[in-house]
Amino acid sequence: MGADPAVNYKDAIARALREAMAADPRVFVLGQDVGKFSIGGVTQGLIEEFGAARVRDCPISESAMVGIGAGAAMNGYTAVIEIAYADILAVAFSSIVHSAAKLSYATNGQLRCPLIVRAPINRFSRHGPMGTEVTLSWFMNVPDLDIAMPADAAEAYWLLRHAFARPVPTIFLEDRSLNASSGPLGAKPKAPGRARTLRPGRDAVVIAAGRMAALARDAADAMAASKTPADVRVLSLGCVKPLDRAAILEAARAAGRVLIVQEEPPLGGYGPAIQSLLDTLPASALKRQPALLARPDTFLPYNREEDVLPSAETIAAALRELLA
Amino acid sequence: MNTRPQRRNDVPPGAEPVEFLRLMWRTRLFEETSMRLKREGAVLGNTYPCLGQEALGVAALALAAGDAVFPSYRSRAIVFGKGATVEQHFREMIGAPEAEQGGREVFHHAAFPGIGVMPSSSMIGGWAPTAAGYALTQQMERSGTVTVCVIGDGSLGAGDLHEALNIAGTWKLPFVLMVENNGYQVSAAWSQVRAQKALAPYVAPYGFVTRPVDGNNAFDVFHSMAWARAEALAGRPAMLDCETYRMGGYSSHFGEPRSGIEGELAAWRARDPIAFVEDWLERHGGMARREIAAVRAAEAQAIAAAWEKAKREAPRRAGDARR
Repeated sequence: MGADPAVNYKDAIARALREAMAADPRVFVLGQDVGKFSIGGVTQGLIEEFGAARVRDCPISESAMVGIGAGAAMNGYTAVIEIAYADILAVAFSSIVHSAAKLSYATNGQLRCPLIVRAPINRFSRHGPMGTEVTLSWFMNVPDLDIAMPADAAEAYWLLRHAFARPVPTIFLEDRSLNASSGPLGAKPKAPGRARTLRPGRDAVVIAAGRMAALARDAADAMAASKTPADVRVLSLGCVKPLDRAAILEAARAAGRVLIVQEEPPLGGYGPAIQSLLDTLPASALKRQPALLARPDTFLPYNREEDVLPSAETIAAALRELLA
Repeated sequence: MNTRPQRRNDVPPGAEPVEFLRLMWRTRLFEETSMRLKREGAVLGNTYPCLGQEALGVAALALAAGDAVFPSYRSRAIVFGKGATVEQHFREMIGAPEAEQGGREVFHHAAFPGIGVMPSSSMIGGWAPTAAGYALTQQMERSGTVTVCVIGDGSLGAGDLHEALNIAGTWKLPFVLMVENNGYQVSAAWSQVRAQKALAPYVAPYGFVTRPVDGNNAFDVFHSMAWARAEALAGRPAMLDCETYRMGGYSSHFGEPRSGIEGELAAWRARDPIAFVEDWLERHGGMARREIAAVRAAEAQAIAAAWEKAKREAPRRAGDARR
């Protein structure tokens, strides 16, 4: 013990960011209140260590922040852009899609765009319909764009490290409700950015990302300890784009029963994408039709947003149904 | 404080007016050729000609090799001025496999980063932040170079432009905003889309020094860019409001979209930027009319040869485009 102490989710992100800045003088931070006052806490201390030129407080100009990151990438720099919360990605959408994601394609690889947009999901912040959205599905059909959605501290750390090594922009959807969760960071994954088994199991597999994967692990732990135990594997996607198709197909074949859980409505997102991927398996490969547990097609209220989101209880109930 | 230097008609030190003339004829003849090729179905790509605005390209000759230009889609002149060739443009236009963009991106967005020509974008306001981002890296590197962001005056309505200007002014970036102020947004006259024709009242409060430029006078354009570059390097981002006029249509998509412009066309024809330099060369530059005419002939010949070469290099693609 002690060699790999537990680190909380937020500190894991801060550590990966700090290490990247220490390793490369061309990494810099853009955001509102990221300097002397770090509103989200992740950038705390960076301005003292790396200076105001590399930790830049910006006006409320999210679209320009992303555009600046794309322009800086043209000259070999990597911007880490902190968006106050994921909902605000909407005002930067054009810059993310047209200025950042398309850069390498449009210039035939003459220019590349390795930038990172950290957009925390404000789960349970009581910010209501304009301050608690996930936004992942909005970006699913943008080529040359990575989307990371870490479920725990180790994933948060290694996925952010991985994002710095990528030639394309990354939308990094960290979940603030996981900030205090902690665990060892572990060794560098052999295949960074690939799906990861949070919990082994043989009877069924839950495939999810971010907070949904963390809840699925809680649900599976509870089911294993119940009077009628079930042995459920949890596959955490980590990177939703690129989607780890091989890991998904392997996990589905091995368990035969698949539950996909996502925090967004069911018309887009990784849920339907995984369902269509599983449709490519021969009929005999699965014991049951894959199930998708998603939030209904509605926004999130500030009071009791949990009522419309999947929970450990509804995940367990869906698993019981799948195993029946 | 904003300085308001006088417009200048004198030859800039170190400048070769005959080079201005070559660049302007190259631009005009290329634009006319691309419009013809599109009409004839010989190329796929649409074109947004800068006819009448050719003198703006001379700004590139006042820049250093390490300076970057983010062109508008109507900036052929400054792209040629930075050193991109007609051959490269024809390859892009055909979508030749050898083209730098590999046939993926339209030629009026083409990037040639090795010579400081950065890509352009259909998100005309949204592209200003990328130029500001490039300027930020130049500032962080203390490279002694600047970024020139070229926009049309219609882009003033785009919110992203204002975000970028606010940041460039606050951070004192080595950033030059060069406005092709031709007074029209496709068919709409400037007065339909903003309250004042001049751009300085909008841009100066962001922390920019500004200068009105006679965009049809190559000498004034050169002086102005040399001034703007020095200002931007001294921590004063600069805006050049280049008054000019589009002597042709908006693009190859459709015919002339502006109505009732006969008077304007006549007035601006009298201010033709090429005729201005030709007259100067004849009166003050010691060139005979015959020598001046030879400049145009040489550029025309080079463009015709470049097109023939492009067709030979990618005959299949050129043939595809015809169908």
